Amino acid sequence: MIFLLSLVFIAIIAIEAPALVRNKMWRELAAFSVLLLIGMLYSYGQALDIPLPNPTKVIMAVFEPVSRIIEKLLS
Amino acid sequence: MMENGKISSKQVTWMMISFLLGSSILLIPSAVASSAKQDAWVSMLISIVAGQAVIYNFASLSMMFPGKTFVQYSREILGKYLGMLAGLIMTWFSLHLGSLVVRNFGDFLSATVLQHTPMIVPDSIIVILVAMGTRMGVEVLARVNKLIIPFMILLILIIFALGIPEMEFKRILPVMENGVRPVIAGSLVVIGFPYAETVLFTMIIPFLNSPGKGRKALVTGGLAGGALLFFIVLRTLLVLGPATTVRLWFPVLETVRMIDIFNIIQRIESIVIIAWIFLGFMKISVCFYSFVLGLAQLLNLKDYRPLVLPAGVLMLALSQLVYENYVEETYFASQIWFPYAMVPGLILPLTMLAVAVIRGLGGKKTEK
Repeated sequence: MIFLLSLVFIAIIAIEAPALVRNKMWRELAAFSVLLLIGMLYSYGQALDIPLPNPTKVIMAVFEPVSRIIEKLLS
Repeated sequence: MMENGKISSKQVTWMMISFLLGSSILLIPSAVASSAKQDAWVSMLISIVAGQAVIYNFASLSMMFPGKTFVQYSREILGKYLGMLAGLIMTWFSLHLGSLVVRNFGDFLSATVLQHTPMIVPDSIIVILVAMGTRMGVEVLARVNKLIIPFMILLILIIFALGIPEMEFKRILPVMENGVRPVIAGSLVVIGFPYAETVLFTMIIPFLNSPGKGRKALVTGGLAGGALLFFIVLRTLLVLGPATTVRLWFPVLETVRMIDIFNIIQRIESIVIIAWIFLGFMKISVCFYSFVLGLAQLLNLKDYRPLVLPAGVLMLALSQLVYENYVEETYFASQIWFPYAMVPGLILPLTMLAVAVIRGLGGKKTEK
């Protein structure tokens, strides 16, 4: 699994990075790298069963009070 | 130039229809019926009207800034930092929604046809396809959609007609047994899912070849998609009744499984699965496109294409993580999604519209 994932990431870098360097698109390269790093973090994290922050949990915690109010109004 | 493609207003209407149907076509009947019971069809009527208001609102905002996406004019309206925040919320919403739809897609296929395949396999395939489509630009997506969606609608209508022998009118009686409150609760679910999600079209209608027609195209699409959803819910209720509809995960599929005309036409549920795969592809594409384009514009990049592949990795990884189990998924979709989706779907565009009008920004509709 880890091996496969690494292959995918190497392929993605090989497809995108050379053209960005050649055209001197440094801003794009930085955005590409950061986005890919986050993606790698989440992919390896799941492959290795490392707990990662789950956005759905955060959203749930924020909107739970609102949803309670709506529920109270409509029941 | 970020995006060179041009799309027509008809293509936007078709895209709106497939966005509304994608993923909601199978999930909506049980989501609405869980609170509204046999009155789910009344809920649908209410939410179609309210949904048009949601669409009209953000479409009006887009009309004031022709040729600009949400992320671009948010900075113009709210200033640098607040505008960045608004753009960030919209970009985040498209990523989150996209990964939720990818998850639904995988859940559905592994529950129905690919039971022994790990969910990551169909999910990876669809994300790769979506990434390829997005790299080619919005024009390609709009054309593919217009090519295929009419057949999908035809299939839905044929399946609707084939279900008529199984229908019993008494299953939706008595009307309004428990008063109006459960009906409204049911309609709120639909206003959040899928109507509030359509706000992502603020990232797509700037590429219209005739900017003045954007609002009309979106509202037409919203009405047509809503009408189809209404028929799907009504049909499911008439065939299965409210109790069974709520209990099943994919009641629409069940109603199609029941079709058996003279022992000749039967087991046609694979047609529904084909429709679901295509509609799901379109919905994920719109989310994915909004995400990469929004992110590129937030960061002032020259091109969004370098972001496509890493964004695909991220969306796929998130889709496997977003829900821990089915109970959490149902709770999130039925309770949390409505208030959450209302923030980018209604509150944010409405505030921006008010600020833009007060500050006197934006051209008067269109000059032509």
